[in-house]
Amino acid sequence: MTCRQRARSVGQPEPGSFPAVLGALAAQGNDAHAFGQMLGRTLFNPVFTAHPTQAVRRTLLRNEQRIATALMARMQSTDVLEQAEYLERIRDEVGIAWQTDEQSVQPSVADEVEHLLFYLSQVIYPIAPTVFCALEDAARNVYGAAFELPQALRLLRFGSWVGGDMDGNPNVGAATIAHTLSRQRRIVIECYRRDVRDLFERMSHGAARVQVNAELGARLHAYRAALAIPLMTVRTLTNPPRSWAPT
Amino acid sequence: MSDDDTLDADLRALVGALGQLLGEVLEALEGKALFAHVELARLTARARREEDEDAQARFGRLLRDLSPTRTLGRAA
Repeated sequence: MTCRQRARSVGQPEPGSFPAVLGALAAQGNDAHAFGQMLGRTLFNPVFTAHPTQAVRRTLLRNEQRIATALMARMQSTDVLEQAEYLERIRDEVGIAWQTDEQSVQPSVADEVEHLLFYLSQVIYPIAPTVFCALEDAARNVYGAAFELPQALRLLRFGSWVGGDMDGNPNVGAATIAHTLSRQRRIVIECYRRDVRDLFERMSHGAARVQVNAELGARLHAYRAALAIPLMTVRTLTNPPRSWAPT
Repeated sequence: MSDDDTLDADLRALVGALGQLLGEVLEALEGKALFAHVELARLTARARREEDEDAQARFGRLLRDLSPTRTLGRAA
């Protein structure tokens, strides 16, 4: 049983979670306005330090991620057979990790950048929106359903020295900085494209069944003009929400 | 038993199960000799943490005697 499951089973918020912290803040007399102001003054800014020797192959990072996923699933399962199955999956992954080559030569700055990008795209990117949703949900439970997080909230930011830390590393310079920034931008855009593509596949609402409001129509028109995607000429008439999907 | 104690017991059981699994994988893939060596290192390291006075010296000898090849688990 995980900490979260245990907390839920006794009807208490998980210690240190948003519900627990917000409950404590409200109990201390902080109303919604005071909480909003606190958020405006709060910044979590984890920074990735540069450690070239710790660059781990993406293959092994994915392997660790599969082990973690199976482990969480096993902890959440109450079915003994299913638990055994997850343990077998972990056994397979541990065996694969053991027989996978590590970096055979000194990792390059580019290897280190790819290491960082793994965390950026596979860990931070999916979790960041969830953090804000969980925070807003917790705040609404405490301060009412009308509570909204302040606009332009800069609560969570990430920094990185990777590819740019020139202190004692002759392989780092203007070229690695430019390469790193370019790779970071590209990977985030790739993540957005993938998400939009997924949304496009899911959002199959048709104009014949759903009223499209003027605001959405105007937005679609603007996208159409800005993005010039040929696909939309086919779908605009029947499926407005899908007409701006990326190619 | 408090909730925290139960949680600790659950986590200990899980860590124990994963440790055993790792040992089984090592033995299956690399043989009994390597497994025995890893197990000896693990038990000596634990004794060292538990303030066994000789364990520090034994642990030092164990590490000194390891060649890079053997450390990487590629010993025959």
